[in-house]
Amino acid sequence: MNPSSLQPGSPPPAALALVAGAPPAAGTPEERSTEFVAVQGGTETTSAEALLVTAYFVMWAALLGFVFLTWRRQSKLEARLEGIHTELARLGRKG
Amino acid sequence: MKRAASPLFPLLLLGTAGVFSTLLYWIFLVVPPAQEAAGGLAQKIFYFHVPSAYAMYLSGVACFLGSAAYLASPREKWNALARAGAECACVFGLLMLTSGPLWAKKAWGVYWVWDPRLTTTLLSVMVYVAVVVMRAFTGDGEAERKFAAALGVLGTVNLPIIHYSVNKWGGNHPTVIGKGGGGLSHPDMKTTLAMGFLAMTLLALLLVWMRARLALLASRTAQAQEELWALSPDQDPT
Repeated sequence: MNPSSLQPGSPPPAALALVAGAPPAAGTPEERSTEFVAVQGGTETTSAEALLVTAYFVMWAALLGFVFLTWRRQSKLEARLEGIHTELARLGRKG
Repeated sequence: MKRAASPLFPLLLLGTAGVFSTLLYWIFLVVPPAQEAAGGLAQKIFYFHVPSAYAMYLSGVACFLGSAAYLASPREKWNALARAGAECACVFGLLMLTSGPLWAKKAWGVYWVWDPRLTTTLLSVMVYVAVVVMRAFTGDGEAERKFAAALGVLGTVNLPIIHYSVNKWGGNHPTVIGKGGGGLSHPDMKTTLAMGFLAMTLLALLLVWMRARLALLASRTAQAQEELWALSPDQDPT
């Protein structure tokens, strides 16, 4: 079937072949792309929604990560300082 | 022994959380998206991206003040402020350098260009990263502190260059606000941006405060550890 003869809404040739029980016809080597050429001045197709959500997710993850690391280090240091003060008090009593 | 926290700290924490919640509501549900050439819906990154840059400046100024004061009169509190400022400048710089390229992908079609403002910003963030890495890996002696303070002062000198680079050298980066900019057309855009600045000011204060307190605590722990070693040299150094 010549693709140019397809009417809008008609099924693609591969689908017709499957319906008829025949294997889908492979394109001839001449029909395949042999080179990719960059489109000059093409429009940007990245989803703005995805970029927006990614930006806010990354920013909040970085901020919360920073706050968490600060809190964890502070807890460790406080525990360490308390341990040292206890030890100093014990040594002071001994001395 | 725990030192009593200032009553201002929880207030600042609550205020920051409240302003951020309102800001997010306005960004996602109130403010209209900008024109397609500015990124369309992705332009809403602007309300976090620009205030992040401003917060980096604020943290950089904190680093500068702490560093300059430490060089003039070496005290623990100045060293803590210089350290906290550099660390927060790195974090806000990271926020700016991740949000900006994501917006640029939609508005410019590429994540990054070697535009004057982008390049000077990257350089500035790298200086603050160098300060933080140096402080983390070279110990906490007097010489290291002074060298880090000098680097902190130099890093802040770059900040005005970033700010005026767009006007001086052109480039892709928009100049919506300030000299030569067309401004924000919708009143909700102005309100959201003002809220973004307020939220980031509070966050910068909060984070600089937290990190400075942490630096002071680390310093007190190191001093107490030295006292302990002097009294009992066989103590486990960990």
